[in-house]
Amino acid sequence: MGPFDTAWLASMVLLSVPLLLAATGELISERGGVLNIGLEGMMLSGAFFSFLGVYLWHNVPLGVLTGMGAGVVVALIMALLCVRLRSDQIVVGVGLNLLALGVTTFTFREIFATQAEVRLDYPQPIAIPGLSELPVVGRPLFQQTLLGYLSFVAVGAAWFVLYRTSFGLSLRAAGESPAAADTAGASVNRIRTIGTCVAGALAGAAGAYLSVGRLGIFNEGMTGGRGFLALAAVIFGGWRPLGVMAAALVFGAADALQLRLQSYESIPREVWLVMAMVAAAALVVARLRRGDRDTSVAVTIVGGAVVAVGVALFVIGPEWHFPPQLWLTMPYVLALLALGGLVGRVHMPSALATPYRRGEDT
Amino acid sequence: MSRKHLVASLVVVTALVGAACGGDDDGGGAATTAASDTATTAAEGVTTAGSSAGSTPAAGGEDVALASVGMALPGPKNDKGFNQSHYDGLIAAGEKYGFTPNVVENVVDPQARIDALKNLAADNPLVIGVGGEYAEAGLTAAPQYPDVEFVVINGETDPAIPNLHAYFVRQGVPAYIAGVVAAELTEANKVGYLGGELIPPTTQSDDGFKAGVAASNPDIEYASTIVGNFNDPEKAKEAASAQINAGADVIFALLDAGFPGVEQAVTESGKDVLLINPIFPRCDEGENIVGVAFLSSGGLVDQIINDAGSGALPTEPQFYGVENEEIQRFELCEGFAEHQALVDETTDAINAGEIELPEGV
Repeated sequence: MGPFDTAWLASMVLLSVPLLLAATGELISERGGVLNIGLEGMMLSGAFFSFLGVYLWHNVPLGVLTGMGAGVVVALIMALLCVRLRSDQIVVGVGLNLLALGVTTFTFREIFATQAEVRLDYPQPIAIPGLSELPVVGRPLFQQTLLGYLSFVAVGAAWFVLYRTSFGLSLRAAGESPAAADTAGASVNRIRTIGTCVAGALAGAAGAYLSVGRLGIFNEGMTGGRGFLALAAVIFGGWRPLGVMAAALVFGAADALQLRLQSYESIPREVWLVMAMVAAAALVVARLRRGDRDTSVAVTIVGGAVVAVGVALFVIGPEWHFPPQLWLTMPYVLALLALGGLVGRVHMPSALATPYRRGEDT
Repeated sequence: MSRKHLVASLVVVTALVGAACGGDDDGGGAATTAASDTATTAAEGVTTAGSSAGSTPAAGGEDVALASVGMALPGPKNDKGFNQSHYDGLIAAGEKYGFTPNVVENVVDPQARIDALKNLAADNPLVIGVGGEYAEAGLTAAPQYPDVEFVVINGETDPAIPNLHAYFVRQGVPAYIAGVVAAELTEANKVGYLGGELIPPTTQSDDGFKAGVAASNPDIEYASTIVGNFNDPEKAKEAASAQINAGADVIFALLDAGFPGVEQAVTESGKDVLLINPIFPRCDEGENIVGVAFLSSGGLVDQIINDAGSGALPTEPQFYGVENEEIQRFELCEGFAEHQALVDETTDAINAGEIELPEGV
């Protein structure tokens, strides 16, 4: 199997979990019309304050809740400024990211600077009897920490709330046509505030997963841009829960793969085969979905070319070795493709990033 | 609209002040970071000389006629690695010689690095940029402040800029010795290298380590992975897991705050994997820590301060391999002391020019 072994699958899931948690929360926020650029800051706050919570109380669940609470506090600031006071959501989001970096760094140094490197106990994975013994997918999928399992549960919960509850209907209406939602009796700003707070809570959980969920360590700025990847995952996923989950898994898979491929003298042939298979699958999906004729033709040509090149390279097996720079960019290239290639072809919430005031056109 | 703008401005200002309090990871404001860091440094009580420093050396110290020294770091001053090593060196030198250290940290953006050096030059007669990341910034800032001496660690010089100096720490040299030791220790005949960011010391260490392994046993398989960040333990953990899963049983991880992730990967694998780390000794963190590619930047900073104080900063770049063990050496942990003869023999052979190191190491 070369690089596509069980360990890669496990690594893919582990690297996806924080993205999945943060992106699911962001999905809720964006479907309500709030573009939460401050996701990175909420994650970082969650990472630090959960670490602090576990350090103080020696209790991981309590620490995680503290981290989620910190994310909600940042989200409330975001909601106050963007929903209530109708400030520019992008400016406020960027400001909150900087604020979170400053506050966590400053507080971390104030509390821990005089101590040696602090390492806390972190939870061990829980194997689900029976399922964890399944071949190939058993260990990667069914031997996770509680927070890992909850990240997937959160996707299901998000789907249920969005499409099966009256709150979800109101939330979607607030993101599509806030005036109509208001006319129907929904409190747009209250709904948006709740959506932003859900994003804060899940981003806090994502940060907590990084610090106390997997490592028992906090480093300054340890989220390292994962919040921005989560933002891209929402777009990549077409603002739909299952799409967001697929996007987070793709980013995690790409990251796990590049960490492996760097070690190979030349690119294994399996990589080309998988590339062809993924392109073929994407082609089938594209054909099944309705689109305009020009787009369908373009997708068919590009997809077909990728399949052909992949198969050819698999057969030839060239001795190519890419420099690390190229591999390191793999998740970000995917994010760019998501932003550049898909953004115009999926439906984003019509009132996204647009503040609402009763009586004004939005 | 004005209310909106007011609120937005308030948020930005608050955020910048907050960010400045703890450092600026995106390099968005070298000036604010510099000012606040000086304040933080003073608050922590590590500034020994106060405003009248320079003319009054600290107790037992020597006067090097420098009132203050500025230092710009690319990463956090507490990274348990390259940045901290230089930061600690400057603080120690400040106490020894009685000058005020002014530090800017976490400057990532290229333009912010230029601004950081220029801001420091306004208040300090000597400015040190730490790391090759400051090479370009030094070339830009130094000509604008001809009365200030600029030193860039792993930087560049230019004959047209007499106040710009460079000291090179050749981190690939102790990495070569680490490679020789790793080749001796591997039972699986597979060793791994993990690098942080893709900068010259990372590639030099990669090349040096690989050459050391190959010189001892060319049949040993070698795997190299760049994590992309010196301080990301999660990524480091996954990268190390991948190498362990592929069979590596000795890993040299050129990481700073990301190194604990590698240790966790080894523990969780349940395999006997030996580790080598850079800069600071971590021998007490586990019996599987072989040794450290030791770098005492304190010795280097001391040398720079002395050279600057005596007006003897070199015009040509100065290179440091393992000739001066006070600055750099390969150091074994106690449990691996039986390999000391091999380390000494290799070190001597490098210093005698008997070993040809790869180009650029």
